[in-house]
Amino acid sequence: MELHEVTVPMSIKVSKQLKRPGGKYLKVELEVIGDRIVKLKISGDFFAYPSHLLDMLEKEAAGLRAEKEGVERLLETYKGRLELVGVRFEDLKRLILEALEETISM
Amino acid sequence: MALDEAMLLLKEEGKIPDTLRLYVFKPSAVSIGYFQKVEESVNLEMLDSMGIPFVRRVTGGGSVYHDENGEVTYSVIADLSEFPKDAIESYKAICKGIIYALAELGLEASFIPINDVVVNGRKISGSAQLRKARSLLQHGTLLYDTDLELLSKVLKAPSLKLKSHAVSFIHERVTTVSRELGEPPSKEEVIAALIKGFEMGLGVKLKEERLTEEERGLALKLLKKYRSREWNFMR
Repeated sequence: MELHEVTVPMSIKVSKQLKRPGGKYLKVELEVIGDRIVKLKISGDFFAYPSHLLDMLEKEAAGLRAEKEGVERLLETYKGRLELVGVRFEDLKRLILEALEETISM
Repeated sequence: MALDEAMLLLKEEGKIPDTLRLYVFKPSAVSIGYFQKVEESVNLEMLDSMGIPFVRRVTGGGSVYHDENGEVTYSVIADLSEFPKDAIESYKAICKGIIYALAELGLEASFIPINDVVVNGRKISGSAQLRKARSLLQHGTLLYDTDLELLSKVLKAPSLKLKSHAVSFIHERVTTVSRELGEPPSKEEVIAALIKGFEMGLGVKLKEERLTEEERGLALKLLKKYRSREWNFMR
């Protein structure tokens, strides 16, 4: 019997959080397996209008290639449509991209 | 929670008038914000051991302990066009009702953005809002005699949040009407103050009505979601 070495891509999970004075708490959790994002979870005590857009963003991120350009492109499609109260859209973007960068560098 | 959502959906269809709903959770319960993670916002072990249920709201914001004997919840369901477009300004406009209600009870309160009403620098009421295309739901809490020790045991705040508030315990930054006045008002006094407060704050004359069959029916349909593990543990 011949044995082959199989490489199983590792799951890498990174979380980032932020709370500005006078603002709300924001947490981003990102899971990457191989070259793909498998999960993005955004949580906290902020407000988002309309709230389903944030659920949609999480769903759309799952399956994307784990690279900055594609994720930035996706986030740009939400800018202006998604109103965040208590946190800034730029903070959300920064946390997601920082988490992504960390998964790539690991 | 199911009834609040049902009323918002019916308001969106133009089927009900602008409404103020006042209610008390029985038994005492915890509600958490739509985007909150369960394990970061409530002490599940404590809730289990005390038999206190929790439910995820359809609105954002933080976790709330709804004390059966010390808290009244309010909901305003109204046309979006009647309030400022800016989210914080609209919180402020609706929170006027709470501020007038507290004045009725003998306390000077003020609105602190984003969504808090404070007395002597401590939070006494918090609110959360959900908007549809034509209507909004803002619900919130008025702590009149809440057990703050219990509140601080069942609710959790993320460590980052505590740091920025510069206090170690939730109950140090929260107060009640009873604590501020030195004696507890009755639930009936609080409800009467809220009705008068919202009439003054919103510039309306309220008329007491029973739930319609449609409101009750839709709420019963939505109840299944609010009782499901899938909804409550979604994050």
